[in-house]
Amino acid sequence: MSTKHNFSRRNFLKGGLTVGAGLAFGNLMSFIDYRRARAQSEPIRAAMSSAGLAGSWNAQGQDAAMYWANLLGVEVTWFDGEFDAAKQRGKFDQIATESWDFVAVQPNTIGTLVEPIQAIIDAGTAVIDMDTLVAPLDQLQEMGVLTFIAPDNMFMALSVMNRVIAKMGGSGKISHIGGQPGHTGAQARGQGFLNALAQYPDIEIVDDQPGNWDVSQAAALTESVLNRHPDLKAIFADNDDMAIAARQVVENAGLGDQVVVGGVDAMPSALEAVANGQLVATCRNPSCRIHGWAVVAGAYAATVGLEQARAEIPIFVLADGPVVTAEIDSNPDLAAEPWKLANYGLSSIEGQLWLESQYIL
Amino acid sequence: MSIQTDNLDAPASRLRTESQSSVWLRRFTALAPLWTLLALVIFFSIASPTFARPINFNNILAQISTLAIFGTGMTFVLLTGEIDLSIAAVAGLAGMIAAYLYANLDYQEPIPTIAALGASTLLGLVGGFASTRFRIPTFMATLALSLIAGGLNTYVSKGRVISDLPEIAAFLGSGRIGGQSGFRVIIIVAALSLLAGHLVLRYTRFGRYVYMTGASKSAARLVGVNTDRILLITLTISGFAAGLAGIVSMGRLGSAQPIAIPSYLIDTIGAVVLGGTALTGGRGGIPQTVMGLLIYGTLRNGLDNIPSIDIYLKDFITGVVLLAALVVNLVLSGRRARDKTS
Repeated sequence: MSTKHNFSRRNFLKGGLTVGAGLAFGNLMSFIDYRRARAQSEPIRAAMSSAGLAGSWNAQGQDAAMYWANLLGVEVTWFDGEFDAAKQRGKFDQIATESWDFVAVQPNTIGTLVEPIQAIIDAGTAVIDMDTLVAPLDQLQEMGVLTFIAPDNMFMALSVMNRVIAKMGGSGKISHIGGQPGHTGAQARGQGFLNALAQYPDIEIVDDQPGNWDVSQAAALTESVLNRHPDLKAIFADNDDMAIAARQVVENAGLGDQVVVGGVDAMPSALEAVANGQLVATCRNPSCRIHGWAVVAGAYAATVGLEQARAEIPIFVLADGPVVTAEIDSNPDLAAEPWKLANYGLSSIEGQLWLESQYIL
Repeated sequence: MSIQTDNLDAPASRLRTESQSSVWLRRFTALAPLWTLLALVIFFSIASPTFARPINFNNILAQISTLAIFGTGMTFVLLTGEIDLSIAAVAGLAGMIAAYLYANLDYQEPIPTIAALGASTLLGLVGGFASTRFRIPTFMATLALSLIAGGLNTYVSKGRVISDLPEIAAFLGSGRIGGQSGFRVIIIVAALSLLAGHLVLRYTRFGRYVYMTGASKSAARLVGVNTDRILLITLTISGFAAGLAGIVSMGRLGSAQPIAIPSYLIDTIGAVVLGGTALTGGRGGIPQTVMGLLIYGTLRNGLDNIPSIDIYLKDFITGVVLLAALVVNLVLSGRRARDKTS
């Protein structure tokens, strides 16, 4: 059952807050101030779960969530999804029997956690959906999920694919290594891959199979497609780990100069791979934003009450991230006006690495 | 009672004392899995305020229910000294067949469920046939079968999740008897599955033949047991159990998934062996499987109930405790066997 924290007018004013209709914060910064002042005395209790902490993206997100939780006085119990829908379901059956102030979840696959999450919501607890849909979007609203914080997976894939296609010269053979088929993010990235190619009839998709986020499967698929199509020009993988594995196979085959590889997530290792020229591009899937914002939204709901939080926080919050390439825009005609160049004619990689290390992006 | 060394009755008394201690030791070691389970329950009850609650014990039962159905079939197979690596993939395919027939082809119940169970049973039969007719080791035959079932699942689903499920699957996996807070049907299905397995193994001629085949194939053949037929039937039973587990799992998870859930295979074998059923065959049974499932379920659930444990250490701790439980269960069981022999 949700605990609505004591929130008197005196506390409200002490916290430097703005009073509108009912209880309302001027903005999230004033809420953060308020929570910082009460982090020790009025802790909030939360359950969080991601698909699996063995994944570097998920682990980075967990770090960010814990950082934000510590900042806001949220005691988080983490339930590792272990990249296994059945195990995560078992843990959610357990979560549903306990009392939390909010619950945040990145499901392994769509549809597997609906029953326990409905029970959690029915008990008056705020549930935040992170990155992957718990249920189809219309059902998500019917269930009463507070908000869905996610990246635009289609756009991320499309952005990277535009760079890949430019490197291919708009023609040739390409292969796609998908993520986990039941993962809505993977499905959207697959759609972004197809959307990007729709305007390029001279590009042939010679292979399109799920790699299940598994680097060994990605490597095996790459070996196989290179055997069948030694003239392959590009590979797009649904995440960076698989893209880097594919790139390694390409280099082992001595085709490093022929085949360009793109991925998604912009994890630190991938940023370095882009800087080294191993990957042509990646796009930031901002795990720190998704997980950190989930903590903020959950703490907010636990403080002002679920109904008010529902009225204020939209059902969908986009967590955006930029596309990253190693290319420097060095148009000599604009040398005197670098603000007209992409990224001011500078590399964005170092800045992104710094933001990730600070749990901001 | 003190024993005087110069007393003429001393040797007999010592023998009597040793015999009594031996009996107690045998009784103690025979119940090793139970002590392990009790130790875990006591530990987690002390370590976590949320563990020892009726609703959480109900959770543990629900969490191991799918494994229990898998485990029923796997117990038969392991008792013959063989193995079935296809159960997770067969279960995934069974769920997808039922969901696809129901949601995409508009077949009404019970046709989708019967078709799914039929397909999984057939796959088990194929595995058994390949092993007995062509002498392919069950390890390889069922591994191939796993790829076939997984491939068919991907082909049928085209990589998509189906969440419009047949009523039977939804009832078996998510239904409750007695209202919203009533008893979960999945636990009843698991219990019935285990009970049926136990009755067959304990009270039928076929059950005795399963043990004989696993204990010594050549000896079983010498006394007239058709060991090939026994193996064929056990793998068929395993296929059926996997199909049922797939239907139930789909109902519990609320969707049919395009890929198999990988942990089902290892968790099932782990739980069955943990209870005391030997990988080499001939020893164990459903009661041992029940104990193994309860130990495994309690361990997993209990660790999740202790939030102070470092999340990155949980798998390590699970492994260490499992190893310790195996040592207690299997080494002590081995000692019991040696004691009996001597």
